[in-house]
Amino acid sequence: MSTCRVHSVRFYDLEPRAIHCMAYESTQRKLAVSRSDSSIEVWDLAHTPHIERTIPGRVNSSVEAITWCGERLFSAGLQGTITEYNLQTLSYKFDIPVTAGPCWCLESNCSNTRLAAGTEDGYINIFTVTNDGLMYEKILDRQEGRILCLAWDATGDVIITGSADAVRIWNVDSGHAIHRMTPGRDERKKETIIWCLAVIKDFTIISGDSRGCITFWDGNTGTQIESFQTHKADILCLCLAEDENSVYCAGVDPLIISFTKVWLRGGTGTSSCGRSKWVKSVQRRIHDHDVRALALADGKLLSAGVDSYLAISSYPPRQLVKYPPLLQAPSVSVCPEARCIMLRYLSHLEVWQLGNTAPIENGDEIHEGILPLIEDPIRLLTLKSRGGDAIVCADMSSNGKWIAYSSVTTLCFFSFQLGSKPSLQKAPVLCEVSSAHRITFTSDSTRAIVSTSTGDIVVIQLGGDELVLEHVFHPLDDRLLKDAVHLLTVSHDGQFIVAGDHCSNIIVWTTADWKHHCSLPRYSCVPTALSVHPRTNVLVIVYSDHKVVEYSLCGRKYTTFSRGLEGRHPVQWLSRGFAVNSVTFDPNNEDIIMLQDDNTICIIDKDKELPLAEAKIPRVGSPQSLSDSLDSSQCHPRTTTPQHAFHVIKKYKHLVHVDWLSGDELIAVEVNPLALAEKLPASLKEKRFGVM
Amino acid sequence: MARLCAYYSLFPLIDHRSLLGIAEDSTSDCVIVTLGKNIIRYKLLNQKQISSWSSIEKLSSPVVYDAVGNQYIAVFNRNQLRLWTEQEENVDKIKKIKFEQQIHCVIPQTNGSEPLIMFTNGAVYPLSTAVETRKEENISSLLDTNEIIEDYHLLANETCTFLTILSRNSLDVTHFHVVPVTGNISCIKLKVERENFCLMGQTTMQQESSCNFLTLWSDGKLYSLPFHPQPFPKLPGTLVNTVRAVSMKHPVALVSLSSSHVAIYGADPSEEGAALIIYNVQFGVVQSRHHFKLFASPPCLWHAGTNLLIATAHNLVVVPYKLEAQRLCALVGAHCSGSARPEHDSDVQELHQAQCSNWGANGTMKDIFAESDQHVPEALKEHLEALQADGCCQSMMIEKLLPLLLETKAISELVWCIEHFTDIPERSLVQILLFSLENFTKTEKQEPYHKLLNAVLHAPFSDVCLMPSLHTLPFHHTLTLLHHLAEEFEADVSEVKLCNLVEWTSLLLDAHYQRYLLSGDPQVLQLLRRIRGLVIDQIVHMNELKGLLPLLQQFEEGKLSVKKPQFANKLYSIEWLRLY
Repeated sequence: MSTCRVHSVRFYDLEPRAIHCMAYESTQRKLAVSRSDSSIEVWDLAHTPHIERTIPGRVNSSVEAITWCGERLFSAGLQGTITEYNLQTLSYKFDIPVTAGPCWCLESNCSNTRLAAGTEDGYINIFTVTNDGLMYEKILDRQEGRILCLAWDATGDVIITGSADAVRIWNVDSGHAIHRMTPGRDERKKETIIWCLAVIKDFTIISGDSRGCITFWDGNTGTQIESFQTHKADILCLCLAEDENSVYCAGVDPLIISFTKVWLRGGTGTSSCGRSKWVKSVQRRIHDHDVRALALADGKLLSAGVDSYLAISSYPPRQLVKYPPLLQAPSVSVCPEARCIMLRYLSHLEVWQLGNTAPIENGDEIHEGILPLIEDPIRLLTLKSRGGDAIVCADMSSNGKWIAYSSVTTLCFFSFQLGSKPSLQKAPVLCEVSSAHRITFTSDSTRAIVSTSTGDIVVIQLGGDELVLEHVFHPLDDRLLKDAVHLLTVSHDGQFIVAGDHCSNIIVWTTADWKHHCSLPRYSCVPTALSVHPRTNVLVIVYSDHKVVEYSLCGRKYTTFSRGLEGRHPVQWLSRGFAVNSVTFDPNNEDIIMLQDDNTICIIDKDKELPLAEAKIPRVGSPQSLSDSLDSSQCHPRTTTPQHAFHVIKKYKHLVHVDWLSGDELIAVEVNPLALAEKLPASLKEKRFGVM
Repeated sequence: MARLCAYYSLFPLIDHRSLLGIAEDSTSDCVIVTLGKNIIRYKLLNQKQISSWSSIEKLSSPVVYDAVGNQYIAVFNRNQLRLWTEQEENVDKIKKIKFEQQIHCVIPQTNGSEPLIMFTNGAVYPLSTAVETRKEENISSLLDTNEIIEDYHLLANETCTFLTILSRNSLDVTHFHVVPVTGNISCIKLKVERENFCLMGQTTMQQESSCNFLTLWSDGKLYSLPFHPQPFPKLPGTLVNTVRAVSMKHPVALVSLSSSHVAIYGADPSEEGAALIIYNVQFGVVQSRHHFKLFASPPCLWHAGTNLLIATAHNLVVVPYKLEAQRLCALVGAHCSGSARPEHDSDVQELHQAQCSNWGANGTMKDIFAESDQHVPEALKEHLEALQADGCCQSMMIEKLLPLLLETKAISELVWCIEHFTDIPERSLVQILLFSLENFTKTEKQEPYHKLLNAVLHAPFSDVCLMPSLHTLPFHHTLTLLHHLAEEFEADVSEVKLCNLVEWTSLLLDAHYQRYLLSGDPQVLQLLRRIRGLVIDQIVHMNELKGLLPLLQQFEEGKLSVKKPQFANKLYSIEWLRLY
């Protein structure tokens, strides 16, 4: 029986960033998502979906279309360029300008050899994809009006484009339009805009337009086959299933409607000679605001839009998981000595002094509920990045004296004076390090460990106001790591530096002699969180399939607990929809591991017996706690005294970070879903029965 | 309560003189109208003609419906009787029953007996008897030969039925006759006259204990004479009241509606048009009235069901009426206004001594004099007793006493009055207020006018009624009063209750709203600012009290409130959480 005082921090006030487009790459099972701040997130959908890396947006640029070309990621925007991204350094590789103005759409052909971009002035630019870049090939005949969407056919010889009042079919070789198809208008003076297109192998073209109509065309003859008025407002996106037998569409009217191809009697199964027909199939309301992008990945429908949530749904079985628009972890730094937390926002940092409660007089009493505050939290600092650049990573030292952040271009250190009059002073720039992916301070606040965008791990000595470069590891050159580092930690005694990359390599160095200490056995899944126990120097790693591993750094082997746990993880734990964000330990009890994901704190008590794999994980909660929703209580039977090693605390929504402050104090930073919803623009007003 | 409803025209009346009369038909909402040679049945509900008959011969009395024989009875040429049913088409073909004697009219009876035939000599026989003996010479003449029947009323109680006849002889002398029909009752003959006044209208009225003969005289006085079963009645009887609602220069028609209500139709006192009123004989008040544009003399008024029918100049008008349960409350004060005026008539006769009765079982009713422990000021005692004897209500007493008290500056008596009377007219309140303000000085707190003023401020009032009177209060006095109110607000121990202060202040501000607005006087503005400051202070005070209320409620419920400190921050909280 252990209780702690939790500082529930709900003032982390993130802005929702609308998702504009998505592109799914099926071989790597990666999803690229572009947001309204023109940042691109790469989500790993291989196991539990989670953000793998974030490419920060550039000021004054937009992303209107993204596409994968093999493992390479391209985007096009209104600045009139096509951009390729370097996923390892999380920056752009090059910009290639397109002919004539802003670029609205970008698509690669099936063999990933060519890229086509449609522009404002009605030009279709064809680029050849080369090993080290893009090569301009040609432009097709100019058409009137902007090209809003385009699609390659299966052969790669034909491009279909959509623009105001027209769907055109182009011959890429000749550069001439073969057919022009008009969708018709609802009102005489209001043009119908084709917002999205898809092509099937039998050359059926599907288009969604501003009337809310989905139209099926015969591309061979350039005629309309069928048209359905499905939505009350514009259809902005549609996506084809991999077998091309169903199509999903949604838009300003956020209802997601699917159409299925049915074979009429007389046809011979799936052969092309049989007559087929498209009929309206299931529909689902997942979002309340405009749906801007749809994608299908391994039978699951990915949908996203203005409400900023990425929804992964399937039917059947009927499932829905919605991922909130949070920043990639770590976005919160806790300074136990200074009793501060630092919150990372898109382009600024906030430092808050935590509040305090009155001392508890009767220690034996078991408490529940909210404690009286004698001190309110105070915001000590708002630090805006230079030029409004997006902040990639930031950290604050445990004693609160050092703050470091890095944007795409610069890494800055500041010395910070707490007290009644907080003051901030910028430390001289280190020329050796341009920008960083992860920064972490040692717990004694004497060193900063930085993983740079070039893939090096740099140890910086913090003495007085000076920064001294102490040591540089080159894991890429040493072939220890293969990709960008997204996990970086240092043991509490400062003895070990642990780094993990996207390729599941986890490397440990010692700081005593700056030597490679060990490399952990590589697992097929990506680690999503790791942490070193402050007292026992045991490294706990959670992978994206929720496997938990405990590795003794001193003994260079998995612990007995870890070996016992292998293969005996509770099934319910492994099937969770959210990846673990952080790992913490109870400083008062060595047997406790706390894992945190979007809405749950999972507590593993190593001292207790492991449960049966099929057993449901109980949740701890007093009967009066009201935060349990109905479904979660069904999944997790309530218990007052958990008998087995696993149990959960379900009390939060959009939990960002959980960490120990000191003694019996825990910090839980959460984002209120209502606070996000409040900041959204108005959605399409529609009268629904029983809903306000 | 009696009420006359909206009237409507039944049919246009071309020849006013040819209308012989109106009688109730077989069904209650129908009437039979007899017009010279035509008999028309009307339905009152939709003013539609149901059926009609015409004859060559002239009718001499209204046609009546005989409920016993289910037939219509008409008198032709004063000596023929014809009986026919509803299905009959031609009246002329019906067998005529000839009489030797002249028939005055046929009177239907309501108690299930056959109709009565009244002859011009005053003799009354049931129909069958009259028909049987029609050939015989009837010598039992009740009236003198020169007397003609002017009006008649059939009255019946459990034991007897009788007819009253008003006759007029050639010397223009009227007599009142009581003619027995059944039962043991003696004939009465009374000369109807009053010195210097002539009879304008009469009717009979059946009350619970007696039958009364109501007479209305040219001085407007309505007398009621009980003649049965009281023996030896003597005219004119007891005075009910003076009727002023109709003019006494023209004849007046009266119809009894119930034991206490009588309908009176006559010329309007303004000499323009006619007036129909329902008069309550019991309380002597007019309870409802209608004005008609034209008056036709002689006035004709009939009563059918719950409708009154009037022959005006060109129309036969139907006025439905309603008699509801008597409510005394509706009459309170109605009586007083009349008697409040000084009576100039020399021959005022106080016939009723108002009796003061204590209705409350154990004296809970507040009666000023009934309570023995109250000592009435000596100066007032006599007046009050006199007024009490007159049956004045409190408001009237005050109105009568006030000029006297103000004139003599009897402040202590005034204070006593205000404190002990519960119903003080708002007009009088303002009068006292004005009086006290005129003599008011700011400095002396203990002076009697101060006390009087505060007493006025405590008196109960209705703001709606007070407002018009307050408008008459001079502006400078209003300001003085406002100053006084403001001082009372600020006083540590206020002599006036807070609620009264607030109410009076807002009333005064309302009453002279425009004057304040237009006044550029800095003193006025300063006063208003002062009041505003006081109001703001009060509001602050109220808000504090508002916060106190739930706490007190908790105390009342016996809950010791666990003080919840203000830590429930939406954005930040520290709470206990059980980890394992």
